[in-house]
Amino acid sequence: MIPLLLGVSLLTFLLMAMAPGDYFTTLSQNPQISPETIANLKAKFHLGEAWYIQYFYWLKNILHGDFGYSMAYKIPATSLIFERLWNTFLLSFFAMLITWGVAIPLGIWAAVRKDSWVDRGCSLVAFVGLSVPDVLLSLLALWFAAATGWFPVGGTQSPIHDLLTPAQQFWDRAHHLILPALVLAAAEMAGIMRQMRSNLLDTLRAEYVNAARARGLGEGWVIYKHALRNAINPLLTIFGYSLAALLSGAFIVENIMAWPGLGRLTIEAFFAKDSYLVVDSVVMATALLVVGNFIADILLAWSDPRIRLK
Amino acid sequence: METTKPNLNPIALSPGQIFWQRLKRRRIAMVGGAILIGLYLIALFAGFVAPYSHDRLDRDRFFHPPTWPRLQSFHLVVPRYEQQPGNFIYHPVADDVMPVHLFVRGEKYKLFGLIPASIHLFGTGDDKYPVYPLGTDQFGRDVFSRLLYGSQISLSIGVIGILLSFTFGLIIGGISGYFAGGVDTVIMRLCELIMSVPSLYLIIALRGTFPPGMSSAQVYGMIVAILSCIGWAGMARVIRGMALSLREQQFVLAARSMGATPWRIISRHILPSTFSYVIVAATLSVPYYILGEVVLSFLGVGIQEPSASWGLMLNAAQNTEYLKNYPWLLAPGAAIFVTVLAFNFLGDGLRDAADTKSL
Amino acid sequence: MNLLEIKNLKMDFGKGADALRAIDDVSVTIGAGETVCLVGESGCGKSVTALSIARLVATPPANYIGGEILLNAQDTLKMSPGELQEIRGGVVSYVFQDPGASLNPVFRIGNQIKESLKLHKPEKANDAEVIRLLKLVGIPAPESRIRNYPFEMSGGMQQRVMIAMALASEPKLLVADEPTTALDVTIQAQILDLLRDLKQRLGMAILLITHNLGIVGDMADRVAVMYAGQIVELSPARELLRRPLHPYTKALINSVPKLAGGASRLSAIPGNVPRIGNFPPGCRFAPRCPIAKPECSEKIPELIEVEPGRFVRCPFWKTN
Repeated sequence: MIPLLLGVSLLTFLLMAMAPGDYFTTLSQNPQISPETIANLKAKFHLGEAWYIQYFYWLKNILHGDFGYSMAYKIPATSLIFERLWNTFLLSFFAMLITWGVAIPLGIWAAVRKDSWVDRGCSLVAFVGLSVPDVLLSLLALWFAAATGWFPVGGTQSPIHDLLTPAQQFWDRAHHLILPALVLAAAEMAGIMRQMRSNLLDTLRAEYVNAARARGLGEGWVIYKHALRNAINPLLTIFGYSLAALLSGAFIVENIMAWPGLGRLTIEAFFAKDSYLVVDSVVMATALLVVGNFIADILLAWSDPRIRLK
Repeated sequence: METTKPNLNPIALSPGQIFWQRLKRRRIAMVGGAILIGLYLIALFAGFVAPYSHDRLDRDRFFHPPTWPRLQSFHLVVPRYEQQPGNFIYHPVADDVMPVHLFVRGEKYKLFGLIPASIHLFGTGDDKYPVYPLGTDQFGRDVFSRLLYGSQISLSIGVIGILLSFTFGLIIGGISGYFAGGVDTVIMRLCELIMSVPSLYLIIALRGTFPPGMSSAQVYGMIVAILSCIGWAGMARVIRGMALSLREQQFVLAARSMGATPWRIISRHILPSTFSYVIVAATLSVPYYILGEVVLSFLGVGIQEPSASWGLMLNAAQNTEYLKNYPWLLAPGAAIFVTVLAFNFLGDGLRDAADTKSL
Repeated sequence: MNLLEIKNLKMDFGKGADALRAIDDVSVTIGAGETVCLVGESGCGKSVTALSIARLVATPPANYIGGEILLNAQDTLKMSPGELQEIRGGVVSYVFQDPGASLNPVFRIGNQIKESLKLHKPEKANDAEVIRLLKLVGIPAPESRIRNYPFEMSGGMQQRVMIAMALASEPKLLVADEPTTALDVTIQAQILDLLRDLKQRLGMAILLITHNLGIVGDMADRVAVMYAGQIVELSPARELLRRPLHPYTKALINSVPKLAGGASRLSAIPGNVPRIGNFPPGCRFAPRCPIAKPECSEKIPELIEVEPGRFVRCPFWKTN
């Protein structure tokens, strides 16, 4: 995990270093930043020197929790990064909950009632769902929110948030989170549902399923205890890909629906030519993905004894 | 009593023919394929099918609603619209109509970018009576025409991107899997690295290494390059896995014992066995490349004005006021949806046809 | 009254014009404590026949169009799902060919055996009973084996576990579908010994499906030979092996290579087993039969009792 993050940070840093123009020149051109700040930054990050020296100091500072200074926001980048990271995490986490919470039961239902109208309906919706691009869905959701006024069109909380009671604050945040999370979840749901259905159908064809029937186990028991337990495992292996897709999708949803997460930060930093911030953002997003994958691996080992013990 | 039937078809078919027969039986896949052929043909002849060029400004008609011809005494006619003063609402003037013809002489363009021509598929021939099947945008440009010219970019990026990255991924994956050992480890670490960054973040980071002001052609090449740089890794990993298991098979051993060079083994024996997977994966991946361009252009870091691309056109729709009043601005979104849907239909059918375990 | 009576069973795969006859007029009986072997080559319908006893064949695509299966005088083809659940395990238990595939890979074997117990003998659903069963089938150190997963055991052991699971519910009839085919020869012998031992101790009836004539000689009281969905000979085992009546049975016995008696050419049966849906008209073995006559291809011969307890489906069975 750690070597991976190091490698990614190195790669991204290198890419940014190859960008024409640099952080330092843009900084000094900005009249709103005092010369002292620039001098400080230059000392800390050794700006203006060769890229690998810059990388070394960047890494050193990161490990001390110091992400530098954001030109665009004129605040230290550390709190900015973590706030955005948390927002992206929230969005992705709830989207994932919704996705799996809906897709798995639907997939099971479709498999158990194969070729019924439920199954065909789900397949159709899945096809359509898979094909609607995140961009379109986000735009439609935005239009929906603006047209009906039922949902806010951006941000994580309303302007009067601090004046609300804790309970109201919770619902305020939830109200802001729901539409982006739904949009993000909708895109992933179809794939997971189809995968669950296909896994369960495959498992139902296995010999041990018929052997379980032969022992007199009821059909429900056979499906929900024996077959399902095996059908879930392959899904855990695609959990990683699903999370990657979700984080990429979050990038789009954040930018269109004005959800202040890492994706939005990356674009803002990009246009502000704040390459350090871009690097920080990319590394943080990667960290999210890597940790998520790691958790998935643990879940899989716990669930499938063959992986644990072989 | 007997319900048996004699075997009427003892002639053996090649795997390719069997595959084609199975594919033909899947109607959804054929529909998807037909839609795609239609889309690409239209894109090819965009200059001809589009009534106007992609950057023709109609300063009198910003945000003009779609003008559809209607039937009047056996002719298709299109009315003239009048703008309400002060805002962008237009109403058709009842009796002021002009017939719509096929093969009309209009703006000059270059078919396929080479052949100068000026015949368009349809139009009125009179600029006071424009035909805007999908209305105009905030600059008075015909959305339908821009959609068609945009399709040239969006659709071709998909195919070219796939060709590049899959070719690269196939070769690298084949080499990595066949030779295993140190080469394999290094290549796989690189793939892992690339794949552990959520794709859009990496795309933006890569975009940052290019200068901001580039010509349209350069931007196009840049987008293709970026998308391919990311796409090859996934394919390489899968091919490498297949190659690893294939190299243990008997027919590879037989080839080696006959003195075949590694390159020959990889290209003639190992890679062909992966083709059924590759074709399905390619078809199902093109949408991601198209969407990659769409997102880049949408965010303003891809195709720039005044060129047309579906992503760029969707940018205008981000304004909720525009969306509410001028919903035809979402047309590129519908076009993307249809394209992706068609690719998914086709890819799904291909996957079913290749899967010998199913019917 | 016999424990199991299959009477004139007919089953198709598919419906209407595309139907393929898989089981054609099959009749077999098994008395309590008897061991009957169902012999035939791959694709002759013996497995589906055995699975039909507890209606374990999925319908669709299977389609029972005639006959009855009387288990303790009740027709299983007409049983409700609840009744079927009771007889499965309770009256008839199965042991399948590939033990690795028949055990659920993610559950421990102790728990899987307990599951059967909970269903049919709940008062005995505890570790002690599981250990007793594992000992019964000859698994060493059963106390530690309870917590094993199937993939942690060898093929032979997995098959013993399957047999233990089948026995847990104390069935009257054990159906073993090629229980040793997937195992090494030495392990085969052990499993067969086990089955024979269990049969003696528990008085269980066994329906043993196999394509191996050696097993028949070892285990069977009576034998039914199947070819292309039909029973072609039904006899007590000794008689069948000593003096087979149907040309197919004769050819089968002749094609077994003999270790003693000098080198000679292997005698194979010419031609191929007809595939389902491609049966020849009349007697299905006629195209490959050494004594076939023109009238053989005109009408399917009946299964006739030509000697007490011996049935043959061939009018020319007397030909030597």
